[in-house]
Amino acid sequence: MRRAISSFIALAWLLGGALPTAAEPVLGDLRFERKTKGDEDFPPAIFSHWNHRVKFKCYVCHNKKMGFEMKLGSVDITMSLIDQGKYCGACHNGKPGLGFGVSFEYCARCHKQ
Amino acid sequence: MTPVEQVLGAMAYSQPLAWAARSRFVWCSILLLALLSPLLAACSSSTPLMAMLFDIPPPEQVQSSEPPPRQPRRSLPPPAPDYVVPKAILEHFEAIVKAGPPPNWPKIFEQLPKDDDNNIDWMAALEGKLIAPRGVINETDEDIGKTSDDDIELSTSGKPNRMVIFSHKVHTQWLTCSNCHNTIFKREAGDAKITMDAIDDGKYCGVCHDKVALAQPSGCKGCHKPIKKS
Repeated sequence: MRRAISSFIALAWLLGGALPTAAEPVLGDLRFERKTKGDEDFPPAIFSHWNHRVKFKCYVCHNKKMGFEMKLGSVDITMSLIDQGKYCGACHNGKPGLGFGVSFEYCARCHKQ
Repeated sequence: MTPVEQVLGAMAYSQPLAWAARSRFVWCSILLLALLSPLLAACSSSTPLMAMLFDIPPPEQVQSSEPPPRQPRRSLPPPAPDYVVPKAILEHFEAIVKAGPPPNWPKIFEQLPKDDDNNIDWMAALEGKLIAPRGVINETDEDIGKTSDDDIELSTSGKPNRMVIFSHKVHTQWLTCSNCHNTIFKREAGDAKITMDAIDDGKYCGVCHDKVALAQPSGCKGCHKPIKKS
């Protein structure tokens, strides 16, 4: 019974979770450039620096292990690499409990106009 | 021969036969008595023994006027199995519960200190302990970050009013050595000719500044702080 209640609360949180967006663009919001062909209609992802900076220092992502270069567009990030646990997938791996978003719940969370 | 003599004579004559008949009768009677006497004794004796032998309730049982309720025989359906939530799903949701609700980002953004241009003043947020950014993904991991607190005086033009004092302390609260050295800056101060044009081209300081970071206050005075004449 206790577990059922906790599951329900978790679901409520999931559905009612606030999006990591500010009302207006913030300095540091990056629009990635699409390099693959055939998906031109699908907007490339926007990375928001500020909400990551609230929780983490720069070198958590900007290091050799994670592979994020300082310059935008230096690395080719694909969804398959993310699914393999690289780049964004190192944290956004669908496992809750580390204080990040649970997962990429839906495409438009990042791939937005 | 008198009638009496005739009867006596007949009795005398039939004595062996009569004795035999009488003997069988006696034995049967004894046997019957032996079988019935315990039953009779039981019937006439205590009630518990009666209850054991006959269909009467024992004395300690309360006599009920109503007959016991009897229901028609029916076959019960098999008990439904308990619904078990799969363990993986359960663990997933328990972890979500443990992690707490997702952060309210619009509210966090609202609470972060801003400069005059409504950009986030990250150093004020850090110094005011409004944020506590981690240097690791998992709290148990080893922090690779290194700090330094020496100031570097940078003057390309040689004019003291355009002197830039680079504070390692401010920068190493966010970055570690390898973020800048030796790709953006060489280790030795003065190796690079840092100009504002180069910065505007996205080199040197311009790799981060005006892209994800702003000097505070923004504009020239954020970095070009005139040296106070002492």
